[in-house]
Amino acid sequence: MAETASADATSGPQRFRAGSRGGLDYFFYFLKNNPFAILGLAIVVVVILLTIISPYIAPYDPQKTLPGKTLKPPSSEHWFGTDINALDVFSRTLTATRTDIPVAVIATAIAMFIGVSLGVVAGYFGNRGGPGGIASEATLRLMDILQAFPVFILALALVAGTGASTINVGIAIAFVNAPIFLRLIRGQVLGLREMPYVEAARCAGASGKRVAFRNILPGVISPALVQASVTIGFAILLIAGLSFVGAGVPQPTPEWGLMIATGSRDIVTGQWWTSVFPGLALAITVFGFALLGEALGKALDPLQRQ
Amino acid sequence: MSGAMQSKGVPALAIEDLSASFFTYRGEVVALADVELELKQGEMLGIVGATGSGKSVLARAVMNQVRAPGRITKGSIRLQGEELLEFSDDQWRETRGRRIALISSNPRHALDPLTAVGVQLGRAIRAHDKQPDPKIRAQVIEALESVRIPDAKRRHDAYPHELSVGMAQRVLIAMALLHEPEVIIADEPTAGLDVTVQRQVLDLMKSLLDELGSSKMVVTRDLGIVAHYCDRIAVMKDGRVLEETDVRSFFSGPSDFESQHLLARTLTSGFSAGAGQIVVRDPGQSPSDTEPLLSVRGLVKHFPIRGSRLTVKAVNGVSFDVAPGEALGLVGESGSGKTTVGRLILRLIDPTEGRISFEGADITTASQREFAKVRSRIQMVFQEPHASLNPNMTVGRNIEEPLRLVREGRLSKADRTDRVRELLQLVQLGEHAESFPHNLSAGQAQRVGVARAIATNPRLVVLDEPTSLLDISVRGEILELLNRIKDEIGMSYIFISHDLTAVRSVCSRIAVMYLGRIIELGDIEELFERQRHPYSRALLASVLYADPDARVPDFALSGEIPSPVDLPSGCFLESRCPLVREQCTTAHPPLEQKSTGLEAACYFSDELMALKKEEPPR
Amino acid sequence: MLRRLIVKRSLFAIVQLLGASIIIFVIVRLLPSDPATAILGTSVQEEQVEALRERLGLNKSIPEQYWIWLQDVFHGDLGRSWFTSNNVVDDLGQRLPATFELILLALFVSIVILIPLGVITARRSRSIYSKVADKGVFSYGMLAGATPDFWLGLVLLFLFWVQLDWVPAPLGRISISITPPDTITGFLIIDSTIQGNWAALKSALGHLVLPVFVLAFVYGAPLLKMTRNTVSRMLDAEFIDQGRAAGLSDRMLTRMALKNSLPPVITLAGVVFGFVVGGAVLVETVFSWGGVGQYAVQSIANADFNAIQGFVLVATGISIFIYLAVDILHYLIDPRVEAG
Repeated sequence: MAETASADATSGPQRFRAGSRGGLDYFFYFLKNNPFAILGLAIVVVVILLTIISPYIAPYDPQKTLPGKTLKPPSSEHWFGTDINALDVFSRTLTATRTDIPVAVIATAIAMFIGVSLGVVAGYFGNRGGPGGIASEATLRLMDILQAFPVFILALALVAGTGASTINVGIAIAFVNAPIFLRLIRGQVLGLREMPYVEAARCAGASGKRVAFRNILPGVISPALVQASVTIGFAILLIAGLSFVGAGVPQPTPEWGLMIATGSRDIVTGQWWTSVFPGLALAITVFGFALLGEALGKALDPLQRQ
Repeated sequence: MSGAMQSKGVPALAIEDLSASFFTYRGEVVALADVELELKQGEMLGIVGATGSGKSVLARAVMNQVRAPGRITKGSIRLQGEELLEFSDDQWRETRGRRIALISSNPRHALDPLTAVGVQLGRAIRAHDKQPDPKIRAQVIEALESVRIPDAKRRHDAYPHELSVGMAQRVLIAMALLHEPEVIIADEPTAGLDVTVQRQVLDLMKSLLDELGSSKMVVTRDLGIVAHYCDRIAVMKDGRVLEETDVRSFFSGPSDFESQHLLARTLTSGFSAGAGQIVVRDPGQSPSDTEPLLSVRGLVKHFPIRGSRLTVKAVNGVSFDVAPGEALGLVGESGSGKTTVGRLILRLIDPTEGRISFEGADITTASQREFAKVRSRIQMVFQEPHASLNPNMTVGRNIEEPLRLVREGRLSKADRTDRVRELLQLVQLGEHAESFPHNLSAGQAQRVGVARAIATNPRLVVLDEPTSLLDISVRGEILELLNRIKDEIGMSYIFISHDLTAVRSVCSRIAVMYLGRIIELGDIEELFERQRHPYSRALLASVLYADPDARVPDFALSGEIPSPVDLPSGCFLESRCPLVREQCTTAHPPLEQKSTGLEAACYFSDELMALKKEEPPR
Repeated sequence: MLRRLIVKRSLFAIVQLLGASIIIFVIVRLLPSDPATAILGTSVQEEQVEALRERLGLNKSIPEQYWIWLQDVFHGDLGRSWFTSNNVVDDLGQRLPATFELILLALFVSIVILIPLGVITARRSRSIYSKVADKGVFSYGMLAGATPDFWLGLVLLFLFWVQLDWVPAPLGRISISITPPDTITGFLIIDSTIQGNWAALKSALGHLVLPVFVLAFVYGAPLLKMTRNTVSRMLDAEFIDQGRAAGLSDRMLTRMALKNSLPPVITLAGVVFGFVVGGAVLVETVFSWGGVGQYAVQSIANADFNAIQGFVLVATGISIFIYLAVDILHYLIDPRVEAG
């Protein structure tokens, strides 16, 4: 069976050809066959759009109390109702993207930068001795220790230590996610380092730097991007979770976790809308990034391309 | 005995009109098309064909184990006249392992890695024959002994990863024979084995099966195996049987065009030693005439094992020269250190000891910067065609890469483009410049590898098993290409391979390696005819020529290659050699001139010559 | 060999724990610009702050501070919580059983339900059933991964407590009106069963249903996905084919596939455990569970540094122990794993 499969992979007429113009064609071809990918992409695009334009389309000021409008249920005037502080839940849910998304994206970018650079170093110089080898070994031992912490609890401790603020939440999230990138990339580099085509590049006369950038880095970019998409979603959950227990973004910033925390006291008395809507927005956003990550993983895998 | 119950006249297995397809999202892909085959009682039938010919699907279809999304679409398979395709699941379970058994390739993967081999054999016994545990244990040990596994009692509790590939293959054979089946299907039974072990395993399999009187169907890509062990042959292509005939008439001239083609390919690539068919290459200049292009002296490479003080002694003192324009074959089984030598020459790894000079200059300790100047004049072709090409670059860009990296006299952009086009033309891939490697077949990818290696007009190309992962027909293509390049451009080669006949078709000199040492070195024809080292003879004896009449010298080594971690103190072959004496256990013999053009490292090479009962084929 | 592995692996765990203690110390003691001010606030007199600094040992050198703290930890002294004014060790000891009961039950439920489900749906074919299972497992995995556990807890509370009144109020582990069983194991369901206190058992189970469901639903998804994918891959493995060709029964083949799938699944279960410990902090808060997670949240709100430090150390210690257990299990299952 394996035989036939490999045979038609190289001779089948419907096989996709990744030519020079193939990139965009392939993108559409892939989307057509993966409805989940379309959904994920759509959610992410909408969320990013909202991050940019939400202050202009939000019907009310998310931080200004509306006199006499405490805990009103959803209506045509207030689609998601109002909360205990007489703030419009819909406006707050929309503008919360401006807190959650930038913090998550920037924290992920920092984690990715640190993780990928250290991961390439640890992978490329690992098991080789010399100063590079020692540095790589030390990094790995530090990772062993960081890995022992439950992620949420490490983030919690970091924010508790540094004080609850938006910036500190971002730092904490970058810190706890960097080891994930590091491990992933190091594993990839260790694998790629032994690939014959990397040796072939060395035979062709490529310098160590050229090998690292031309041959190894392109190989790790795809998995790093896939991980980044998943990490952004995970980071949003972390921000919300930290804010929910009061160790995150301070009041009265519009933020989904904080809104759920505020609403949690009202849900007991039946006012569900103050926490359900921000929670839904949160879940859909994370879902979108997770789907996108999954789709990227599939689309960027060269084997899947056949 | 199962043979006794077989009725006369009825074939053991009769396949009629058998078709199978894979149903993928792209639609139906036909894997078998109206296959008609007969396996006669007690015979051995060889099924040959290239990758994708459907021969493995056929083997699975007979076991009713075609993998999803594939299935049998129509036809009939009769075992001793009984229609198998009408069997229920329970009947199939009853039949498999008891009446039809399978010996698969890839023995390491065909055994459950988490379960001791004895337990796995026990399960296979219990599947058809419920018995108390102690009795099963005794039977398992008996089965292990029957396939000549030494120390069977201990091996009963060994896990698959603790066995060598050869041993694991024996376990699979033992498993297939447990219930003395009427029909045995062997799917590439020796694909992963070293040549000297392959011979042992095939001989064992054949003799045990003949004893049982089972009928045998062997799926293989190796015409040599067919020529030597089979009674009849069926050639497959694109899911069809092209020809079904007896072995002798096939090799004297197959009637079908494709079959002729297949045979012709093997013959021209030197797989056969039939008289007059091999193009004996011009020996070229003898190395003493000119300054050697490459000179290797006392090369040693030991790899430390992580977390222990032991080392893998991969190369243990290797010296040889390569003259300009000369092709040297570096031959040995896996673990012989031949690939490590290649990597050392290219400075992909640094030697533990020894000296390498290229064009008269010592490059052993040259810094990577200094060596970079020499790089464009020493290039390499790798074993794995696809993995050695950068998947993120087009074919053209892959070939261009070394041209861009030349230190002195780099070509302009336009000249490089011309050169790439010229090279693609040379390897007949003119239209593929913009393709990506994963769109090429293995043979095409390897031609790209060759084009890349010769792009900078190197003086020396190291070919590391360039044909071992390719189909026979494609193998011939690559060898032809290599010969053409050598003759037309006059490059020197170091051809690393375990395949003696492939080496013979390209090289004029040969170095045979065993456990990191050269044990015989010299003129290739001289070595083929009057080899002075028992290991070389055993290696030659294990080559299976695609010619049923080829006289195969009867010279076999016992056991398997010792571990390179713990080398023997005397001659490395001492534990396996039939000529062994006390002297052999004291020190490894030096490489000495034994005849004009041949050096060998053996104390008793004269005795080997005297022993010459049967000549190896010319 | 097993003993050698345990010794070696335990030594590594101790080193890990020591390293973790340094990191915790750095985070909780050094990052706050001044714990004394953080505790007392800025509206107090300079002398009071200075006195507290002296009492907390903040005027000593940093390594000295760490050394003193480490010695205290070895003597089972995690310092005093200024909020509860108990030793943190006692505070945690009192609350740990509640947390353990919650997370162990959640893990147990997800393993008992989701792993068999993964095995059952692993056999892929072209049938509709297989396709539905495929999409179902994928969607569940994605959705569960995206759902905030604390929010799910709130929504379920609204539905099943506020609206339907099927579950008791989210105020601890057992209703106040019920006499709790005497503490033997600290696990209410076990203690009440032993003592035949059925009313307490019923109440405890009622309180456990939602938080256990939330944790199992959210954090169990990767287990299902991994089990299914691995078993599915294993069923395609060559040794299964060879076994079938030898006439082995489907039951035996499935058993072989499952055994070979265990190593990655166990590794993942260890990772999931770490996430459940984190998730428990949030879920305990929602259900006022009274475990160490809720204690940690209170400590953060009160800037109770000894308590935070103690909690993080204990949570990390538990997680290190789980990884140790995972490695030992690996060794027992897979003969290819070296003892070191």
